[in-house]
Amino acid sequence: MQRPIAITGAGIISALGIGLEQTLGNLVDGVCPIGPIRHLQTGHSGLPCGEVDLSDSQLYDLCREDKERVIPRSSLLGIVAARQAEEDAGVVPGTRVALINGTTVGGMDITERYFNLFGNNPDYNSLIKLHLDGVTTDIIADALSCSVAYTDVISTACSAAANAIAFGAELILSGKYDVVIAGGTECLTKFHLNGFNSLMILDSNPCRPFDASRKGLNLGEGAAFLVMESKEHAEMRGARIRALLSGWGNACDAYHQTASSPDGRGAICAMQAALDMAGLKPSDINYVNAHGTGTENNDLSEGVALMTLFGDKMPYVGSTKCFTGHATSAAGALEAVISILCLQNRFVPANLRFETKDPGLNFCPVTENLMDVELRHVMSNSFGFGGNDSSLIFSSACPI
Amino acid sequence: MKNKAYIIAASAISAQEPFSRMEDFAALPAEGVFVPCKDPDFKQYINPMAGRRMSGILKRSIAVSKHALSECVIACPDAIITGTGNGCVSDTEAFLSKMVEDGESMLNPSKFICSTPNTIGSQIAISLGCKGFNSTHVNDRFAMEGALQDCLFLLQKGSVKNVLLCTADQMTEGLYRMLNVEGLWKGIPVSEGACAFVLSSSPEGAFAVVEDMVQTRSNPEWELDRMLSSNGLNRDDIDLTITPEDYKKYCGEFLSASAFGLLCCCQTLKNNGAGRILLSGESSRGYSYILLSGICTN
Repeated sequence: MQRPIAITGAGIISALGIGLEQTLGNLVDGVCPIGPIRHLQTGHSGLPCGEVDLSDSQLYDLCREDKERVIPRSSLLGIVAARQAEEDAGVVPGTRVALINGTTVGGMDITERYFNLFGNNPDYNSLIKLHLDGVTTDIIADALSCSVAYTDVISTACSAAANAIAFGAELILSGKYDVVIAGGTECLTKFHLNGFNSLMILDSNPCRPFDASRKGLNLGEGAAFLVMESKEHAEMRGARIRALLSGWGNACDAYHQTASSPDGRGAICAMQAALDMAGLKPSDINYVNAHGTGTENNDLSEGVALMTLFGDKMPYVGSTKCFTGHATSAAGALEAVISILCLQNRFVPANLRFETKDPGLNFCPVTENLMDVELRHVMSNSFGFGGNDSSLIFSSACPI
Repeated sequence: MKNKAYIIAASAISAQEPFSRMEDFAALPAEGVFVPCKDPDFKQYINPMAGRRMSGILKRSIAVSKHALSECVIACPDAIITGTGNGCVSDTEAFLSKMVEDGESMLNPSKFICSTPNTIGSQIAISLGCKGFNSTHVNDRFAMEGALQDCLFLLQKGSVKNVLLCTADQMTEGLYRMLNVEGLWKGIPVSEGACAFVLSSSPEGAFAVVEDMVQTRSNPEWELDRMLSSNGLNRDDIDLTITPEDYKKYCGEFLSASAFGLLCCCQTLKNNGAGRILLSGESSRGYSYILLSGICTN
């Protein structure tokens, strides 16, 4: 069994709102923010998405950043969430930390806006480098009051943030850093909205994960970061421990670039690896915050994997993408924060809009909010294009 | 925890002859030109049907990975970790320019599907049938370093015995034009390349050892000394320091070029058997140091 990692801080911004309190409040109240696109300039604004309801200009104000400076939206979202996380953890300004970011779009919003001007108009050429995920991550690092000595960026499509959290945990275990801030950020862009649209996997209505009539996913955006440290370090500085990260697993489906295998082999291996690391049995898991995108392929493949792993002891299962949309590379971080909120508040959110059981699955997701349930271990799944499957296990910090 | 691994294979596809050795490297023209990769015959490594749909970066990554694996006679590694600064640029550019020029309708998904950086690692996994750990680091000039650190963690934990580390970056005409106008790469030949290494937790078949590494955004001198002293060493124990200038004259400039530097270190240690080499890296975003030794170094 691996020594668990203490989560001492969390920050989040998504369609559900800004900060832990708003996010939890909207989840409990069953507020679904998925709707038409208001801020991204696109011809597909009718497609429902989980957009953060702030314009770029409002985000600059929220971040207290100078509007003369061009900052990609993913960095602005990242600044909001990472600052919340460091403040929540009460880390002393100047603490030497590592920042691990999971992202794919990076500065694509800037690139697609100025693409035709690059190389032709010298005024815009300095913006080319903002495309790079590393550069967008450093903008977040520079905006923190911690002293970020090390940054890294992981890009495994829709499991990027989960892998960033896992890599951050390895950095803590190695003793290289006492405190790591890890998570992910992704903003809506025309590039990936059109990409997913061309794949014909976007639902023109709010998504219905695991429902037999599901028609696809809704894209979302947002950022979330966790502050992680060893339990000893957290206790030594008297930090409040929100939850423990007790296991993480990664495996590759190696089946198809965009489709999951029918038996969910990669997903099973990732979940099993996380359980093994945590020293837990499948029956120890109380709630699975599923990847549950709402596409026919993912939910069937993930559902079959869950059936294989959990057998007749299926824990509560639900997807919170019916609230946030699928924030792709940031999804794993948003759902990590939501999983921690669930653990701390003994709460399982409803998988909205579920009506009919999939004939290929033997279980239904949670259809109504469950309050005051015993939650000791929550599993959070994130699966990416290319079969990059990852699973994290968060455990209650208070022994029952 | 030790931060150490053995290198049992190292291969490169670069502006030099495919899979060539250091003794045969020739310096590239010095100024401002783009020197493309010299590609091997991909048919040896990739089914031509599958290869037709693949961009150059994917073909190079699969070919160089298979070459490295054949060098150490491993059919399928336990894990695959990729480092790429810029990812799949040509597919990204193709989808983006179609969207910008033709508008947001009638777009073909095939370029989008291959545009994410993790396409490289997943296509290698699919071609090898490797269902193990798979991750991709994209921290531009430190993409190789992040990926290497991930390999070291995985091997030290003992969950795998060997890891394939693949790095790749490609240059397109469009990107070259943009970056050249910006003057980012003055005085250095611009190129592209893919490198592959097989790292093992066991010394069997090894010709070089990664002793430790550190990457930092600031205080490089302090971080270097801290790394050396944690290994009971000081700067006098380093026999050779390899800087980007030392290897970029052979491989040119691309974001994961430090992987070619790592290859040069490996080949030097293979030839010499002993000695300690420090591979140093520097960019506007930080510094990196990788400490390597020969297999006979005490």
